[in-house]
Amino acid sequence: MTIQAVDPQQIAATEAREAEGESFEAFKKSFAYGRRNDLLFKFIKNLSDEDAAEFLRGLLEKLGRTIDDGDLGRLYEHVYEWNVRGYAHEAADRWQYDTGPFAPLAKPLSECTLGLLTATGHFDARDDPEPFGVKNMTQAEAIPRIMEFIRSEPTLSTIPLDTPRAELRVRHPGYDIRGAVADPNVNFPIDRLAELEREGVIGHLLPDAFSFVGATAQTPLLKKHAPQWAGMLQERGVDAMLLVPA
Amino acid sequence: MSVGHVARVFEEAGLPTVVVMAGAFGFRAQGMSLPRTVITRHIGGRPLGAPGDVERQHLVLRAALDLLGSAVSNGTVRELTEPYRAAP
Repeated sequence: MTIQAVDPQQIAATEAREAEGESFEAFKKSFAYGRRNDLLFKFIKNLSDEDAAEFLRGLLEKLGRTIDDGDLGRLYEHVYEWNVRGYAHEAADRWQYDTGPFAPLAKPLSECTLGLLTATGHFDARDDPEPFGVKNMTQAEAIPRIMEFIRSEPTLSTIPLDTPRAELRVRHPGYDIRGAVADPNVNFPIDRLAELEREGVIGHLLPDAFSFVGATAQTPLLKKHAPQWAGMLQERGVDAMLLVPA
Repeated sequence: MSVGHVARVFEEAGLPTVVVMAGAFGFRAQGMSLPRTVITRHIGGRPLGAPGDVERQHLVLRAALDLLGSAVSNGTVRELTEPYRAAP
C-alpha cells in the first residue's frame, strides 16, 4: 500500500483557511488525514472533482435503493470499484520491476512448514513495538504520525499463534482497521490457517506469525530488514510464506 | 508495496511466497513482478473477506495455498471473482 506524502499540520492550516468557503478540492482532501479523516475513503482525494462527485452521487443513489430492499451488495461493489479507481494512479510509482525472482516449492504443501507475515500492523499487546517510544499508542494517535512511520525503519512483531485473542492488537496509520479489529482473519488469518493445518492441507504452521506496519521506509526494508527476516525464517525451517499487505 | 518488496527478497533467498491482496492494489502484482499473487474482489483492509466470513476466508486461503504449489514461473496471478459480502 502506498501512502502519499501528507502533512497533517499543513492540511489543518489549509482547512482553516477554507473553513468559511470550502472548495470541493478541500472537501475531498479532508477525508485523507484531514478533519473528516476516514482511511476507508481516503482515496476520494485521488479522484478528479468529476469522478469524486460521481462516486458520491452513485453511493447515495445505491443507498437509497438499499434502504428499500436491504441489498448491501451494490454498496460493497460501488465502494470496491471506486476503491480500485482511487488507487490506479499508484501503478506508475517508482517501484516498478520488469522481471522478478521465483523460488519453486520443493515439496508438497502437506509436508511443508508454512509461515505468515503481514504488513497489517498486528502485534501482541504484551510485546507492543511502541512506535517512536510511545507506550500504548492508539490508532487515533498513530494516524496523524503517518509521515513519521513512512520515514522510519520497520519493526517486525513476533506473534505466537497461541496469543490470547484479547491480547492481539492492530495499529496502522495507513488503512481502515475496523475490519481487522472485528476479526483478525480479514488480513491476519491465524485462525483459518490453523484450521487448514488441522485438515492436513498444510504440513505445519510456524508457531509464530509476524507483522509490521507497511507504511514504512522502503529502502531499509528492501536492503536490510527483509533479507534479515528471510534468514531468520529459513533458520527456523520455513518452507514457504504467506504474505498479506493491509 | 512493502509486501511486494518482502516477497521479492524472500524469493531471491530461495523462500517461496504467495501474496494475497485486495483488488485496489492488484496492479502491484504485475508492476513489481511478484512471483505468485491472489487478487480478491474485496475492499481494502479486508483482503481475505469480511469479518466473520469464515467460508470466504477459507476460499481465499485455499486459492493462495494452491498457487504456492501450482505456479511454475514468476508473475502467476489468480484473480478471484467473488464479490465482497457480509458474513452469511
